[in-house]
Formats: sequence, C-alpha cells, structure tokens
Amino acid sequence: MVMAINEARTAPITEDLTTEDLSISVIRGLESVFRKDIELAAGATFAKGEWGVLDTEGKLARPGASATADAFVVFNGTDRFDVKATGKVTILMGSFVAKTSKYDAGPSYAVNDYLTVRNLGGGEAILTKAASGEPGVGRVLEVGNGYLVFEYIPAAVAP
Amino acid sequence: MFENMDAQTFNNTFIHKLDTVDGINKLAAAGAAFVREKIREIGFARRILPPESVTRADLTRSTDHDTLIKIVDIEHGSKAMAVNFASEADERWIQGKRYAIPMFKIESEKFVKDEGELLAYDYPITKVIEENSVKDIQRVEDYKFIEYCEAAISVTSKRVVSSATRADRKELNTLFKMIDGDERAVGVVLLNTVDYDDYMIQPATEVGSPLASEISVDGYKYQNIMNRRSVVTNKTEIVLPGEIWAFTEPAYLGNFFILNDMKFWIKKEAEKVMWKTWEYIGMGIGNIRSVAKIELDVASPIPSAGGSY
Repeated sequence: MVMAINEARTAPITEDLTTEDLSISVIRGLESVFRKDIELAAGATFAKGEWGVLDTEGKLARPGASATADAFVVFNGTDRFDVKATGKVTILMGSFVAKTSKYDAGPSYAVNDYLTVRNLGGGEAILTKAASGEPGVGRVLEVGNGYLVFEYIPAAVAP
Repeated sequence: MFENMDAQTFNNTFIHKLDTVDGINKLAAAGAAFVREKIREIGFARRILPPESVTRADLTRSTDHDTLIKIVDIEHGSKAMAVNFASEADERWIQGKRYAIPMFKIESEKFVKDEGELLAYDYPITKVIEENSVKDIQRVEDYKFIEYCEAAISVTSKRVVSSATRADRKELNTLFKMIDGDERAVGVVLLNTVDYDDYMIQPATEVGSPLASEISVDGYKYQNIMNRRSVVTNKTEIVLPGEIWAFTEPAYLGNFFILNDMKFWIKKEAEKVMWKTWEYIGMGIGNIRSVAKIELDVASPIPSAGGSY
C-alpha cells in the first residue's frame, strides 16, 4: 500500500483526532447533491474543502485573483489514493448546506454575509467574504467556533 | 531449568551448555521466557497501556522504505438533535479518522564476556541479563511513552504548573479535573516514589486520623488514590519529582503493540560469550485529550543537589 507520512497522524500524535473533520461537511442535501469527478488542470492540487474553477478545457483549476461565482468545492482531494489513481477530484454540484472550517479567517462574518472564492494569495482557494456587488457562491447561515455553515448558491451576487 | 541451583554452579552450567547447539537453543528459550515475565512487572508504560501482540499480517508496510506501521481507527463521532415532526436532523458523510503507529526496535547492548571471567561472578547470570537487558528495554519503553504524552499535552494544554511543594489531594483534584471535565474519566495516576512519599505525609486534618495513623505505621497500602488506580515508579529521570500524570483507561487512551515476541540471542565463540535482547514495538496516544499532567514545585530530595525540579 502506498503511504505518505502524515506527520500529525503518525505517533507521536499532534492532532486531536476526536474532533469532527469540517473541511467540508454537507449537513443538508447529501442525497440530492451531485458528486462529480472532474479532471485536474495541469499541476493543480486540491485539498478537501478547497474551491476550484473550470478552465477552458473543463478541468478544475485554482481560481484567479478576481471573485467568482463559478466555483466548486472539492469533496475528495488529491491526497487520496483513488484520486491519485483516477486523476480526478470529486466536486459537489447542486443545492446543499454545509459546514466548513476552510474559510478566510481574516474578515469577521455574520449571518447572511455572502461568500465568494478567489485566490487569497499563494494560491489559497477557500471561502472568503464577498464585497458588495461581488459574485458569490453562497450565504452564511451560522458562524460557529472555527467553522461557518453556509448555503451553496452559485452565481449569487452580494448586495 | 536453573531453579534451586547456586550461582556458581549455574554459571558453570551456563558455559557448558553454550558448547552445544541444543544447549544454546535451550538457553535462548530460557532467557526469553525469563525476560518476558520480568518486563511485564516493571515497565510502568505497560501498566498504563497494556501491550497487544501483533504479527506481520496486522501491519502495513511502506513503498518508500522497509518499515512497518499499524493503522488504528479512532471512534467516529455522532450526535442527535431535537427536531419538529415534519423536519429532519442534519446529515453527515461518515469520515473516519485513523492514526499510524510506527514500529521500532528497542535493543539492549550486546554483552560480551570471557567464560573464565564469567565464573568469577557470585551471582547468577540471569541477574546480569535482567539488569543489563530487561531494565534497559523497559526504561526505553517508558521513556518513549512519556515522550509521546508530552507531545499530546503540548497540543491540548492539559498541563498545570502549580506552586505547591508536595503532592496532596488538592493537587490531584486539579489534575483529575482536566480529564474528568472533558467527558472522560481518569483511570490511572502515575507518580514517582518521591511524590508518593510526599503523599503519605498529609496531616490527619487532611486525610483523617484513622488513615494518618495507618499510613504512619504501614504506609499507604492501597492500590488506588482517590478511586484511581495508582502506578508508582522509581524512574525519576523519566517521571521527574513533582510531575504527576493522569490517564484514562486504555480503551480511551491509545495503543501499544509488540511485534511477535521479545528476542533473546546468545552465542559462544571460542572463549567469548555474547548475548543481547531486542523487541519490536509501536505505541501511540491516539486520544491526546486523555492525558494530563501537573507539575509541582518539589524540592530536590537529595539535599546536596539543591534546587527544585
């Protein structure tokens, strides 16, 4: 079995393994959401809970500097064996409500804030707060301790 | 095989047996049996996290190197919620967590002795094996165990530094609450003999006259302290005086694996006798919130050493 060392999960353990993985946790719509495998753009890698955009060839690429509503959250990232084998990551499409701990911790968030996706620097592609008029991917339903609950609304425009 | 035999006769027999292949095999078997029994009695890590035997089939190898790990699951979380008749609870995609326990070897020094010099010993060679192999191995197990516990509390911050100068019920209460207050229960408390001695001088106003009187005569003779199993060690280099650890029961704590059995090797080449002992183990604190430590301001028990720990 191919295995890379995950330092935090190899003894001595330096991660609290009793906590829930909230990279992306769909809490409404699991039965109806589309889980679609999609090819990766050249050199692109994604962790679970990161967001990508489709390039002109229909492959998943890292988002650019501008806020976009045309983004999809990665459900199975490139750290998985099956993704390594297929060369495709799994993205979520359709209507769902999810919890995520992968969001830009810089801004302060409130319920009803709109969320968008852009390159936050260094290629980081996670949810961030949408400025007024910016295209977004969802809306905050709950601000938790270290996580957001959001409703995925592609092509939403922040008021 | 060697019971009821005086030390010199034992050593003589030991050397003669090494001159035959059958004798070497028997000695190796006897040594292994002896080692296994004693180490279970004296390693404190084994009393807190009892080891399980594993075989090669239980382990996973790497594509990058010739080492082995054991992958262990962490219990998946779950919860319930109150909802209206026509509503429904949250959904959850099951995403289990696991951790990897690398196997590694603990090996004694290779002891070498001339057969003539061996006869000069007035105590049985098994004592040498015990003191120079078994104790070294159990000490490394305990050292690694505490090292892993330190890694755990560095993440969880379940560490209290107290200005108290000796162990008493109040300090233990502070220690226990770090685990008991986190939906877990303290099952074992580990302390060294210095702190155990201190615990026994609590005044009658603290522990009551009957117990104080009893301790004054017989010492503290109970297996439990405040209803938690106590493990007392004299290894003050590993568990420093003033450092008291609390752990949950093993099922909530982690894992300790031994690959196959401890190995004992012995060989005679010309007049030289040599032997060593080793084992392959792996251990891990999978639930890092199940460990806590309190550090007291205990003075050095040796006056000339001065200072405190």
